[in-house]
Amino acid sequence: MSLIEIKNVSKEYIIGQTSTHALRDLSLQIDEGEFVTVMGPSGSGKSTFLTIVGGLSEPTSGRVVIDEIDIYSLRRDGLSDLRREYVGFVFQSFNLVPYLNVLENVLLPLAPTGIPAKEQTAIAEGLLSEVGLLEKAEHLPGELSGGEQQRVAIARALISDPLIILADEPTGNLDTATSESIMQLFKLLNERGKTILMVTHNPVYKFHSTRTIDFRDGTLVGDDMKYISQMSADYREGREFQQNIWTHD
Amino acid sequence: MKLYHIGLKNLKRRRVRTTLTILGLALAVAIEVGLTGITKSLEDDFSRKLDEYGANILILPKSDDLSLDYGGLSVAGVTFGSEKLSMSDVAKIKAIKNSENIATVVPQLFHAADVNGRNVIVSGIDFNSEFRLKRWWRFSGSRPKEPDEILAGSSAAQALNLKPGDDLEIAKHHLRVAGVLTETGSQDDKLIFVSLPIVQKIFDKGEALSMIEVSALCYNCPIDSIVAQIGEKLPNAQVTAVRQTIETKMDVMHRIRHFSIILSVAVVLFAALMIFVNMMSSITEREKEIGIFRAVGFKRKHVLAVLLFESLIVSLSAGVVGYLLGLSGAHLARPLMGLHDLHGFGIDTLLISLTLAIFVGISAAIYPAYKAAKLEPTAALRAL
Ligand SMILES: Nc1ncnc2c1ncn2[C@@H]1O[C@H](COP(=O)(O)OP(=O)(O)O)[C@@H](O)[C@H]1O
Ligand SMILES: [Mg+2]
Repeated sequence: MSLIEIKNVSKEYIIGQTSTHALRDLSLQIDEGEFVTVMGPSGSGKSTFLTIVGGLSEPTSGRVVIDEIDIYSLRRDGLSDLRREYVGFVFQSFNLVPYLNVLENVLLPLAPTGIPAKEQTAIAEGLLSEVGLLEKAEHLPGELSGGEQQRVAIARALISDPLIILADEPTGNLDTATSESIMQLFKLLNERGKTILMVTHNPVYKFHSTRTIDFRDGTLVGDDMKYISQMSADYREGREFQQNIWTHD
Repeated sequence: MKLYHIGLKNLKRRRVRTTLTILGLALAVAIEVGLTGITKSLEDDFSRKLDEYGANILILPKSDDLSLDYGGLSVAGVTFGSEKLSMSDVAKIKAIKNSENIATVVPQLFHAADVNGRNVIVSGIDFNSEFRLKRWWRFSGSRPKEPDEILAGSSAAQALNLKPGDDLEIAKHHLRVAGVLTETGSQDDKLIFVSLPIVQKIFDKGEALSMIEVSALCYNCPIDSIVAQIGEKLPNAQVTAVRQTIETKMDVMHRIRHFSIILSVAVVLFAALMIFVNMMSSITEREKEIGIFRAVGFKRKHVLAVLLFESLIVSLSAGVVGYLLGLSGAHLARPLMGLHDLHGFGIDTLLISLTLAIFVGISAAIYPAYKAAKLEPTAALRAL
């Protein structure tokens, strides 16, 4: 049984008279420990895919099964619990709460829980030191660089120790050097067992991953697990590879 | 971290907006509290002053041939009628059900007397009660202190040629003029006021009385029912409410009260509308943040809790600030309203302020907060 099973998922957005098929009859399985790079041109349904997998948006049809739970059959509150327990989101625009300091942003998912304050803080401080931001715990997000903000967001995504990290263009707003260090962080998390789904436009980053899936107009046009894994190994070991075949845009 | 931390932090970040919202609601509370307090003080002041306007209930012996015109001096008829009232009736009046509404009971005995060859009416009164009842009395000389000291009405003094310090003889009793009333324009001008026990003694009247004046604090009490209660206790007496002045004054008070209620309601509704509009726009601004909350696992009720907690804090602060503003406003307005002291600013009013503020604040916030909690998390996250 795969950790994530997507079965015949379609998503149609209807705004007024126009309807958009963001996803069309998508089926896919993702095992625990995979690092999936999600690629495809803008508007091809990548973000929709992540939000559906993450329990943020109900598909028009089809099912999403995570850890043998048919998540959209859960009641609304159950879905909220699932998001906290199973999924950590990382967004392109960081999505930190501007008036909460770094520590509080990391703690945000725990606010509705009854976990004692001391325990909460201990976990958050541990994560902050891992992402190298413990000294900035009292800073507001606005006082941090983009890379630092994204590290805070990653720490927040990890606070309830979820199985799955969903990252939607996490390096889209960062310069190359910063992006690389964020990617290293994701890689580290994957090595520690987190299942990661990451949308990116940068074809280079897929070499950190174990699998690349490719969207066009809401359908999957590429899913090359082994080849990518091989290329990824090549990349890691500094071998030559042909970048152009991975470039879609 | 708990949910309320988030609310507090947000209020702190939006310091200006928070302060303005608190002030807006506080102002409404202040107006409500201030107006209510001032109205209450006016009412209290008014009812306290009622006895200054004189008696509002007259008790006379029942008598067929009696036509009483308290403005004129047909009371002479009473004087010679059968005195069916006596001192024991005074105690009975003080024992009626609504006795706490009775401010002053003034028993009187009128008797005709020959003074210096002229016929005058002597009024036996208790000077203390009478001065309390008739605060408009001004006089030359001094206030009678000794039992044999009297007060002369202005025209009586003129007719008898009396000045303060003069001696006079009534029914062979030696008395002294302590003071002479300045003109009142009422029947008092024609009377000679003598201490009641003296009049009863020199005319050999025992405990008899001609009339009892009662001043009831009747702003809110049912004067008709007081009249009825006294009538029951004194079946032989004719109890009449001297109605008009009181009723017009009460009418004015009622109008003031209604006006202040209408104004308060309008202001409170306006504040509710302001908070509602403010909340609605702040929720649009906060869509993204609410999307974040939902994405990290907040349930709708958690979002609702954060937003309503913020409203609760704003409302509570507005309740306290509004109470203090209302209190200070009322103190500033006090001299303008001619009030000696303020009532209606006790702990109960503070509680009312808080309740009002919370009621207005929460009911104006509940729909926007509910709407926010219902936002689709993805739509909210896409907002920016
Ligand atoms: N909340 C939404 N409402 C309406 N249309 C949407 C919404 N989200 C996405 N879409 C549409 O669905 C399609 C896929 O969007 P998205 O999943 O964001 O693509 P990508 O992330 O690959 O750029 C696009 O045409 C987009 O305009
Ligand atoms: Mg996208």
